[in-house]
Amino acid sequence: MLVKVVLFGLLGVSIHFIFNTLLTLDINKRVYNHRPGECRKIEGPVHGSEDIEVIDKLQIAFISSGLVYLPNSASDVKWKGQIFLYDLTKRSYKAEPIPVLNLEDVDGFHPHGLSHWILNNRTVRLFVVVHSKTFKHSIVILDYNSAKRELNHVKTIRGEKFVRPNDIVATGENSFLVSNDGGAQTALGNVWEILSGFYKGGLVYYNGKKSQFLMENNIANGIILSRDQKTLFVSHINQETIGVYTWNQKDGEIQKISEIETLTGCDNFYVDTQDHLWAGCHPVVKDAAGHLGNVSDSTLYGPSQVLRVSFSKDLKTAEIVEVLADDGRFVSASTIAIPFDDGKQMIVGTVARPAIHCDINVSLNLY
Amino acid sequence: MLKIVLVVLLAFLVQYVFKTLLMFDINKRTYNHRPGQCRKVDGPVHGSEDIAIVEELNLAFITSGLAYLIEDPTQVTWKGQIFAYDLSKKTYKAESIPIVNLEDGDGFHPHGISHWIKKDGSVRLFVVVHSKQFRHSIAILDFDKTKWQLNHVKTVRDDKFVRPNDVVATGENSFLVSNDGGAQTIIGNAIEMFTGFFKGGLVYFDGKNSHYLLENTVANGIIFSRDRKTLFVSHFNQETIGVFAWDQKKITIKKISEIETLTGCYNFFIDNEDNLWSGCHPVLKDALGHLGDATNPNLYSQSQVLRFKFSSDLKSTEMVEVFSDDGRFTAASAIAATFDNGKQLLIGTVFRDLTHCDIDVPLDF
Repeated sequence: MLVKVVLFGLLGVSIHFIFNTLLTLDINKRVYNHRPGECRKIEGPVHGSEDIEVIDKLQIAFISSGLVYLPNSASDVKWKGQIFLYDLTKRSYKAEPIPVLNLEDVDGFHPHGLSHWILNNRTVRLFVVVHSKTFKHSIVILDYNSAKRELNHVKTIRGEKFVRPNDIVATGENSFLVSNDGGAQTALGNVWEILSGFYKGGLVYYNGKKSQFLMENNIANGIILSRDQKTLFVSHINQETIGVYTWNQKDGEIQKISEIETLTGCDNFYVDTQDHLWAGCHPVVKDAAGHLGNVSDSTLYGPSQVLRVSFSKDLKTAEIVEVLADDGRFVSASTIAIPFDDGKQMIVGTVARPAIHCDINVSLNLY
Repeated sequence: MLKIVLVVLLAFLVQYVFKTLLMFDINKRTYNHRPGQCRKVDGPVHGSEDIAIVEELNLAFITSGLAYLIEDPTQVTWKGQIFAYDLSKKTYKAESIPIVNLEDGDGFHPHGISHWIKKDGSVRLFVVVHSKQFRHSIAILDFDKTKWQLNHVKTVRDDKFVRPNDVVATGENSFLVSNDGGAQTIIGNAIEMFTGFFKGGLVYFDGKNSHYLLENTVANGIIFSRDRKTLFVSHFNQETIGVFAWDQKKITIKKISEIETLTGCYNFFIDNEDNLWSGCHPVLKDALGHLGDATNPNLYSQSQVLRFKFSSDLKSTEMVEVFSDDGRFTAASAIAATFDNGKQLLIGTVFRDLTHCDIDVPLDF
């Protein structure tokens, strides 16, 4: 009798698990294409444009390219990790790779998330999440020499708390927040982590000397601070939510305000001059997973989605506008979207494919 | 043996519940976007379910005041009307047009609409009509441009008009009618939906007699391609669009393809480049909530406008989402029609007002 009860319980749990897994994979969703204006591909980055960092004062964008993520073996990685520079004042649709000098390990430089800080002497300092071909992780600090148009290596930081770093946001000349998007170091381990729901990612604060956990046993993908540096936005991509937290720079701590459900997997963030949050998202998980599992196969692609999220004053609710949607044939697996030129133009980056540059010809303020 | 039967039954039940929940779109939502500036059109407040654009007159006819699956005639407190909207000006105001000599003025609740240009150049309208008791007919009306009125010509009733939804004219006195189901009550409709034993279909009326072209399916919006050789049928519950070859001489259809949309597309419009436009319901559970209590302003459901560009063999299509709204601005879109060389768009809804948009974004890419 007890055995039957246990068996029925197990059956119920199994059915529930399968059901939730199928919904998580978005088996009944699709993307309906639309664009906010004319869009064109940007020449230059072909093996990804995973994160983009805009320097407002210089009207340039840095694009990280050549990401290595959960590689099966180092010999699978046939592409080069690079950082591209794109001039936002011209419609050149061409980004140039910028030399990175004095790197410790040139061959093992595969950049992921980007952030920047303006030093006291007006120099732009870049903070870069880096993976090697063997998927070892570090944070690389580079200073941009605008006269010579090159990046100079300043420091490489490794730490055991950088478990599987994804994105980074600078909080000072030598301090930053890093997101871990999971704990597993292999594709198989990652699948297990996602299916079981026992996430090992989180958020780490590095104060220039030491690091500490601010969030654990979670998934944190894109992270960014509001323009006033008081609010932190965290993408919980697997839960399809955006977490909103107060950030206290003095105490180095966060406090949760709200969690916005999006029903789409939002990746990296950008906060515009009016404090709208922009995100590149993956609306159909099963197609994104297929594409990202084999990024070199050009017949595989994942849908792209650009959302602009506008928060209420109390940061507890948000209005969401979809700026672009694509089934993946034009822009595949979008990760970041950045408006510029007073919101009249936009660049969109992808995990493993080229970036695109669009005009925005429609109003995004609907309510 | 009994255990095997129970296991099979359990498996069927689990699979059935899962499919039903997916049909209700429990993990879907809309993300708002517009193709340009959009404004509401004054005039129709109790629906703008179908639109017929008469390009020769730069005029749109809009049906309003739909009564659908009515349980109690006293609940129908609104009036059925046909509005006219001048497409050459941006007045954002549609005028109700008088209908003269109707058999039953109080029982006129229009649904689908189609038009035909007669030999003398005048416009004839074909309108699917329900009464407050949910009796069905097709009303034929001639538009008198000088007096600015619609003159009733004829009312056609037929036992094959089981639950008519849309109509498409094939001549001065002939037309196709879609039946979107067989049940005449809400409960019956729910049973029909849940069991999948659909009783709708497609009927051709030749001016005297009617006969079935499609049976035991759901047919919502229907329309012809510009060359009148292809018929498009919205299978709303299956979330597909059926594409059929239409033979006017033999009065036959032959299936070409069935396009999966993963959204419930309603009525159709064909633009002058032969693109198919439709107003759709992307989240069924919210649509049912809104449509089940249409006079409750706190209930609304999502709107979606799709444009389909078919391949030359009509077997595949490119979809562009032109408009998407969570329902607070435009609730439950049913029809979308473009004009002004594709630079403007009208969006009609089942039970709410009409939306007029500019189109400032590229749709071909």
